[in-house]
Amino acid sequence: MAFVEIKNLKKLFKNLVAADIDHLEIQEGEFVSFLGPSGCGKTTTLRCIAGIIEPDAGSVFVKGRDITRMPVYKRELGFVFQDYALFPHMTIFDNVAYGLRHHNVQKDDLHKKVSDALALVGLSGFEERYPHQLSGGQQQRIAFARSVVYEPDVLLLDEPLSNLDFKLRKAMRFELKRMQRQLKVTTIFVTHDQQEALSLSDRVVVMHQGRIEQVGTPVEVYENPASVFVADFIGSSNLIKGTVGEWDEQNGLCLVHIPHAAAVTIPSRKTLTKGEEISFIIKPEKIELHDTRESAYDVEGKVSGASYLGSAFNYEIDIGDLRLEALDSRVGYGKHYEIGDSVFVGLSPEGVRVLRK
Amino acid sequence: MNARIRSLLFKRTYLLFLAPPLLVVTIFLIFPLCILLQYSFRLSVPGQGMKMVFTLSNYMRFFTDAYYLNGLWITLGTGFVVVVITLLFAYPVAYFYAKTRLKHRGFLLVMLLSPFYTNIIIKIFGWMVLLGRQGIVNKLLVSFQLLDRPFEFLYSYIGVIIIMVYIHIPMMTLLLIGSIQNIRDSLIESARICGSRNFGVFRDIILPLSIPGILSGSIIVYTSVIAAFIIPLMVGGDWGKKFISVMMYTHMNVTQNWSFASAIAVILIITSLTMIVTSSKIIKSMKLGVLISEKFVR
Amino acid sequence: MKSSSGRSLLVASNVIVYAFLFLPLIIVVGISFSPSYQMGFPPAGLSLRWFKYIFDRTEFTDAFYVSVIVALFAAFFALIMGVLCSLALVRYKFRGKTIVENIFMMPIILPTVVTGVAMLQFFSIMGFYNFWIRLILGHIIITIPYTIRSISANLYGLSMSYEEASLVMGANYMQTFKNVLMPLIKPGIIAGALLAFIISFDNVTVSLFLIGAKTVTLPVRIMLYLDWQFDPSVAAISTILISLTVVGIIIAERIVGLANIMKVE
Repeated sequence: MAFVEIKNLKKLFKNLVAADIDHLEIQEGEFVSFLGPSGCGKTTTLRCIAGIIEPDAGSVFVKGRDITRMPVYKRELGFVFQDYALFPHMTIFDNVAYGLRHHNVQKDDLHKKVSDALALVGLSGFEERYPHQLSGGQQQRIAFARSVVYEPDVLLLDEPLSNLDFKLRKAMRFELKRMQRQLKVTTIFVTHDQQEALSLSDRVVVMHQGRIEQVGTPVEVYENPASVFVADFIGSSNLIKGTVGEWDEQNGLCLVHIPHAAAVTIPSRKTLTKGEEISFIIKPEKIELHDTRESAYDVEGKVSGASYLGSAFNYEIDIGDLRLEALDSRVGYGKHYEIGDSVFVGLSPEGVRVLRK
Repeated sequence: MNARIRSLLFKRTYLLFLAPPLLVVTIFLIFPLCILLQYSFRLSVPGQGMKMVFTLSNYMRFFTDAYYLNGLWITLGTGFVVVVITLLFAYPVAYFYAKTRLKHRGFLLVMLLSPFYTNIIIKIFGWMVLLGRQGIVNKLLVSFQLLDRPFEFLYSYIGVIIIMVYIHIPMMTLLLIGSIQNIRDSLIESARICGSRNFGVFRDIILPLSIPGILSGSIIVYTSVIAAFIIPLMVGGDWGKKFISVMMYTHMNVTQNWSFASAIAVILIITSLTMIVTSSKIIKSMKLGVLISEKFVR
Repeated sequence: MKSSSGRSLLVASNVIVYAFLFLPLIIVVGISFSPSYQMGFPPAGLSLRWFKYIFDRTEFTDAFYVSVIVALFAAFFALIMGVLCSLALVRYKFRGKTIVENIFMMPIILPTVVTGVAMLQFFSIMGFYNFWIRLILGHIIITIPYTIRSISANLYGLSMSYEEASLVMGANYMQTFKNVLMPLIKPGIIAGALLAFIISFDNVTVSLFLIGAKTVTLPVRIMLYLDWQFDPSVAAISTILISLTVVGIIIAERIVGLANIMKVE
């Protein structure tokens, strides 16, 4: 039996489907991210699990018991809010101890647990301060400490890093992962930032319009997106539509005619039929640029935009009516192209993924 | 270009804007107040007008005569009683409005604002009808045999308190709503998730965080009550005459002792200003602090 | 998700308080239809005689006109003062700003009765006996804080970039004010005007000190009437005023949203 199980969960807001989860299982100690754009239902699902909002249908199980209709305070969960929700009128100690006091922890034990939690987040000695005396990053750590100190079954994190600035966010990402590993607490993390999701999670749940689009390890979702939406959302991808011209079943190769552009040969794991309309994606960093035709896959194009990103060059390349984005990380030793240059675009087979419509 | 904007926005044009209103307020409010202050140190002689001497006798008279001192205590005490009762009525109403998801909140607000903006004389008149000897309240109390004969609510302490509480409930409620609404839902939710139950959430989170609102609302109602004038004048009877504002009115219009009336006015001003300043200091010293995340409050 | 007992307690207390708030208003409206001098509730029958009575007796209709005229003038001037003041207080930095702010808020902070007494003394000393102007000036002073508040709140919420953009694009300050600022602070202006009108129309305490024999405002007229007589005619006027108040609030809600007229104190 899975540690956390969501079955047929449904929540409507004014007849609009806010969340509709057929089935999802989370294992003990796992770090799972709900990833998607705003309004995709990730926060709604999280709040249904927490009991802050009541689902219209379906159930949530934790450790095999149905918690769907259970009052919030009986659910044994931890929740880190986007705005941290530290009680402004309580000291850090009282904030962290708040949950313990409601879990019948004895006084000596309480002090020890609070100082352990503060040590875990690296803020020992902050007991007597008030939340407003802390920086954003420190408040975030306290919010984390407060939510894990009473050892909840599941830790729920609602975009906890989104209010931090870029550098701090990156540092906190590592911190968060370290602490979660140390505590081995089952964690559900809601975010709209695919980098956070990919770097933190054991598994990523990509959501769209209230539904799950794909569940998989970060590598799976990134490398092998299940749908156009996932591909587009996870990394900026080139999405190309075309018609199957030839299908070489033995080698798994397919000649695709791209309207008003070119015909390219791409590999496909799926069986295709001639004349079928397909989409395929190729990530910008998987596009190779050559001065001359180097392989049969190469197609000629023209550079229509170029910008220097520091760690790479970012190009826009026009092949007929098709515009591709390419990322060339050969900065420093490779040459770079200018707008108007002719280039040969190599769609390296391992970078291409065919998606059905 | 930038310099031009700066010059337009930050030049002394503000003086041009400020001059007319400041002039009006200075002539018609500040200057009259200065005259009032000045009068409070003069001596009114009946039939002879104002004697232009400097004297503290008006203040001496107020603070040595038991009649006036008693009036001051009655006024201050009534303020306290009214604030406490009003708070007890207003808090649940404000809480219900601020923290319950309701379909018809606009309707509730109209329900609150209608009595708030109804003219005070009309409200007093309504209570005169209700509380009079032949009024509904007395009829009900007698018919349920809670009283053997009609009680004179009007022209007594009870009537004044009832009407004052009535007048100030909408005001207090509206003042509390803001401060309760400012308590972010995530604070309440996180207390619940930490294992706190309804009453615990109220005691640990909602009540302490609404204390600044309670304090500021109370002080506004308090200053309004101690300066109240129409209610004790109309329905206070002999008892209402002990209210300091009514005393001032009597000395102004009836005995024509302007200097003594002015002294009472100054005492009234000082009393309410002291209340306001002290309470705002207390609220500031409570250091409820501004959370960094408050920027992100939805 | 309150526990059911806690929630029903909350709902019950709300019902009681709202009933308490509406009780006198309902009574007043009820007895205004009384066919006799009886002030009992419910009235013995239905009649409009008291409505006819108040329109027959010019003292109430005259007082109504006085109140409306005074409130219109007061609101108009207070509005102009409010716009000027808000612009200076919100858009400029200068020394002594807090003091200036507090000066304008004085009519709210000070006991109203003191404001009335001080103005009465002042006008008497000055030998100023135009009671219309006395009343209007008094009402301007007590309504200025409200217009400043509504307009300032509106201005504070408005990014300065709009004005800057307009200036950068070559509009002068007057044009910027007229074409950019004014439309943007319209909600504040409407709310301020409404509030000023209501505050002036409802005022008794200051009016009581500033009225003349022929310039008695309606609330003061009712108050003086109640000194001598106690009959349903006052209920009839009250019914009309209560209806106007409720209609006004609903209109205000439609135009500016109730959040803007909730600023009390």
